[in-house]
Amino acid sequence: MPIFQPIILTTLTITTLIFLSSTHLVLMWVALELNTLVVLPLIANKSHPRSIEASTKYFLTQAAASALIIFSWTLNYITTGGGQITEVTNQVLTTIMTLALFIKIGLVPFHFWVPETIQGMAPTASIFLLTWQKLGPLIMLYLMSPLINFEVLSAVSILSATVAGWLGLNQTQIRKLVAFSSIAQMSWTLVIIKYAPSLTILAFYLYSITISATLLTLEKLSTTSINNLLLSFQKAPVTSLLLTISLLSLSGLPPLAGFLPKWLTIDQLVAEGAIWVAFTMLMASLLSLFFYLRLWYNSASTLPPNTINTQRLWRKPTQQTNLTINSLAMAALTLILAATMMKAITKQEAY
Amino acid sequence: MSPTNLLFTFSFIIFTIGFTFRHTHLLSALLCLEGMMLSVFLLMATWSLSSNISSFILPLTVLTLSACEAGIGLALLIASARTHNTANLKNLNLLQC
Repeated sequence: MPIFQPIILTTLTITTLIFLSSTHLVLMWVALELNTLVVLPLIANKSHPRSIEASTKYFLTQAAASALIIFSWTLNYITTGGGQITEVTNQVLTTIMTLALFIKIGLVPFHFWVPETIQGMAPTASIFLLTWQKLGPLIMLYLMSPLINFEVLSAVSILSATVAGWLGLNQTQIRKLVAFSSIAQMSWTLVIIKYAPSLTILAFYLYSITISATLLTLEKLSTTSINNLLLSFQKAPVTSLLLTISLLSLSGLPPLAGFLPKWLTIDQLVAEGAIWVAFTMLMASLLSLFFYLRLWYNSASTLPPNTINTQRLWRKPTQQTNLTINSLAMAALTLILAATMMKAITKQEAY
Repeated sequence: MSPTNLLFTFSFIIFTIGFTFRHTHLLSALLCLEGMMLSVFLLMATWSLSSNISSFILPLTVLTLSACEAGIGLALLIASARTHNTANLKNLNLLQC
């Protein structure tokens, strides 16, 4: 964490408050710009080639997307005089703005910056990029959700889920796998934003809790590749198990909480008649299930290739308990509270 | 759409295409980014001249933020020239899949 951490966190809080309390698009654009600029010291923490490369790629893509957003707003303002985000009625301009917001979130075909940027950062710092930075674009998409073209949305979601699944199959670096899982989860989050925006909030909430737990455990275990993950069970069994629970919850398997947004999303998609969208995304989530299961297998279900005589290493005591990681990972076991979670997070009953 | 607006829209599109195609140097991408923001600024400024708005501070606000972006872009250019020894975009290949 850099030395200017208080300034960065304060500015991030202020920009998110600006997002939550404004409907005029220029104010949201100012908040988006500030968001991008202030998070760059988090990425470029050390003067290391990988950090600088990650921050350069992040900055270029996000700045281009901001320029597209303000361009489409300006054209809308000139032609119709409406400045609010809900008054962008021209279909072309809505599509440009939607695609620019997808660039900011990192969906396919604009996903190229996500694995490389997450790979170049420390796991704890990448939590900000994967959860907090997506709040602004999500709020804008939520506000303009009746105007989004569902064909564009479903095409981008299907592409994201499938391509992120396929690209994750050959990776050995865990941070890249986390990046691809984040792309696939965001596609599930956004596919339903036109018809049931409350499910977007629910999915994003559960996703951000689970991915924070995953990245914090990765930071604690100091593992960056699957080779190191094989040894983590000996060093810290409890933390390793928390990683397991978080990963399986991300994959959407039924006893865990990650199943709830997927289930309700499929329910709503089928109710709207988008059956092929639901089917294709389900098939695509099998691909990401494969690499989640590979991580689970390597962390908690197999023995490392070296000789071990004991279950735990006795020379190096590691601090097992960490209240943050424990409480975040326990959220994955709350599927039994599905109706309560839906009511609490989205203020609406489950459909 | 009036000819002025059409001109600046077209210039924005040209700069966007220039930004997305592969360059050799990082500075070309930053120049195209600045060109995009300049086109948006000119759209706003010429629209405020042709309409009856007395004071329109928005182009200045947008210009300020784009200047901040330009400063950060240049800082990243210098940082990558220091760590990678060059600012070629082909040299930013350490983090490939």
